[in-house]
Amino acid sequence: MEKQVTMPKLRPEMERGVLCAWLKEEGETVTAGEPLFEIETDKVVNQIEATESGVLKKQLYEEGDTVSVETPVAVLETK
Amino acid sequence: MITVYNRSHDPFYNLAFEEYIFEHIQDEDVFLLWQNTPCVVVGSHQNICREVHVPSLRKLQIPVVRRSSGGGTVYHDLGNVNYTYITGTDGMVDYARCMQPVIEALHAIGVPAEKNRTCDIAIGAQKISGSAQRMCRGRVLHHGTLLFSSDLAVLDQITTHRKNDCFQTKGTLSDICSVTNICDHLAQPMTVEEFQERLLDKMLPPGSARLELTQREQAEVCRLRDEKYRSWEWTWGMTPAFSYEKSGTFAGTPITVRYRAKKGIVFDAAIDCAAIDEAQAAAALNGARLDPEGFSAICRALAPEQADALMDWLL
Amino acid sequence: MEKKPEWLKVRFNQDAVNEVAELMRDLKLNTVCKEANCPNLGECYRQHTATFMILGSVCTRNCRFCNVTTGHPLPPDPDEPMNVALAAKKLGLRHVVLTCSTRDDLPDGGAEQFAKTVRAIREQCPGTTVETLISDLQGDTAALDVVIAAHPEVLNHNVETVKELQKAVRSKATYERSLSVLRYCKQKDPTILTKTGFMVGLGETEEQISVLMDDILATGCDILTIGQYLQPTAKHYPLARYATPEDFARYKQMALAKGFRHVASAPLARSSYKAWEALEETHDLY
Repeated sequence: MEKQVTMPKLRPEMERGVLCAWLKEEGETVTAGEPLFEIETDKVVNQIEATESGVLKKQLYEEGDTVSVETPVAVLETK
Repeated sequence: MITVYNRSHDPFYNLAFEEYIFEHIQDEDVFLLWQNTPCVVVGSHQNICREVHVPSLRKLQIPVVRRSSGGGTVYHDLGNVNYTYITGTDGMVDYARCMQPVIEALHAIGVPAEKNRTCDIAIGAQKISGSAQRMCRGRVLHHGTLLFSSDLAVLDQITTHRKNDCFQTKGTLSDICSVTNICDHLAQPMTVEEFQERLLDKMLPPGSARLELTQREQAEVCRLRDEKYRSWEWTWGMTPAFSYEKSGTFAGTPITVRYRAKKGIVFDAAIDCAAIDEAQAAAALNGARLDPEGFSAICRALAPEQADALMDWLL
Repeated sequence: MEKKPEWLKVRFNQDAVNEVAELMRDLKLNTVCKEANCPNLGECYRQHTATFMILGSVCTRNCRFCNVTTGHPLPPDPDEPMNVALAAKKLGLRHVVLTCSTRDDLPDGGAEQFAKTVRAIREQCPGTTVETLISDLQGDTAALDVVIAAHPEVLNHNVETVKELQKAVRSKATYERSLSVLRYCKQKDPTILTKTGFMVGLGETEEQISVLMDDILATGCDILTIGQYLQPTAKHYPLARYATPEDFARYKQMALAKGFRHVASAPLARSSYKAWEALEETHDLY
């Protein structure tokens, strides 16, 4: 099943964040709890962990892109 | 709340120390104080070349260190005290919760500090502290500077007057603001050492554990320092992708330098200048690591007589 | 006296030397650069490094390699720590080396004056790193603790020569005690870089040098300096040979292969010469 991973909202005022680094490549297997990517907003770097296991099917943004909150940034193929 | 003493002034060691504590102490709140010898510390996803004028820093021999938290570029010297506060988090960003205890401790030792903007502490309208965070696995590392008796002239020269606008980059940009030293606002004078002792006493509840790393743990910190914080892969390889273009006059003739870099590796490079062998320049730059030492060697090969002047066009 | 080889001749920057000399006189300070007749005086001043000789210019020991005057020194000057700091500030020094004549007449060997001077420099010059080049303080760990607590970036104590020549060259100091000073400092606060140096040209063999390096490294020492012994006057310990630049390059390789983090090995290398470079390289630039 395909699951979308979105840009989280880390403060009530947060409108967008920067996807700074992918920690998994497309096609790589991901276990729940493993870090998937890093975002930065308001001088905070936050490591976003996968909540489910699967394969990272698609990275929807490049490193350095600014993304609005709750927008999908990755597609995870879960079993 | 506990503390772990760190008396090192080595910026590379100190960032490794902090990361080691963040990774290894999981179920206690931790408060650390530490100081660096002169250095520039950049945010996790910043473009060093955009934030500071690298050739000038090279001349001053001030090292650049990349930290793992977000935010902008800061200059540290031995008049600056860094604090680190590590605690649990529900994943929401909350600077006030981390800064409030520090502001209260500052009040208790006679520093009239107030929260200013999202993540700064100020006296009046002048900033004395900036902070940044890193979050993972339900823990937050909040750290900040405390300008006690820093050389503000050098700080100003390095972090505010030297922005390099030749970089088109997506990385994090730094803010510019007016700053002041804590020691100029004290009712009773104290040394930077006394300041740290008193701040620590106010931050830690009576009876809190005050720890030291064992020799084995220190060796692990040294390994992290060497493998991560001193590595090219971390300091320069983490530079966000960018494109660079700068034009002017070199050796009496017009010059245009263009290149792009991704993961710290240069590509699409060209130097357009009658005084330079353009084919040799392209060959030397394409595939080169973004690295002041490497660039300096390239400049010496391309323009042996004016290597330093050429360097100013490349970074 | 034998003519010096070409590589021991240095450029002399009279302007830089005059500037420092005037300031030192005004603030009643001594530099070991002048007292010990250092050949690198001009170059160091120009690079904004200087070595201050605190606690006066008169030494209580009489080592056979050294040009510092022996006699009965004056008590410590309470204004000296601040004067050193003010001079460092005025000269815009990036790295200050503090040393002293050996003060066996003081109960703490001068440790407190070292600590006060480090603190005064911290206060006046936050951008300046400090290196304390200390005597063996007669092996007194309480005195060493006072210096360590002030946390200089580098703690330097010279072993001067190989084990076999210690008695002939040094007065009172011993090989073991010097090594134990380095070992103690590293154990007490591993975050302070430790540093030592020795001279060649006193009659030592290559094998003795190798053992010396092993013994130094075993103390956990980070930085090593190796330089040519220059006989100050005919009355001093006789010079055995001038080692060539190639010899120094070989010693450097030998020391790096053994595991030292930074090695300065050159005919004119002195324990405080380019001291700042050693610190910065050990901290690693960029």
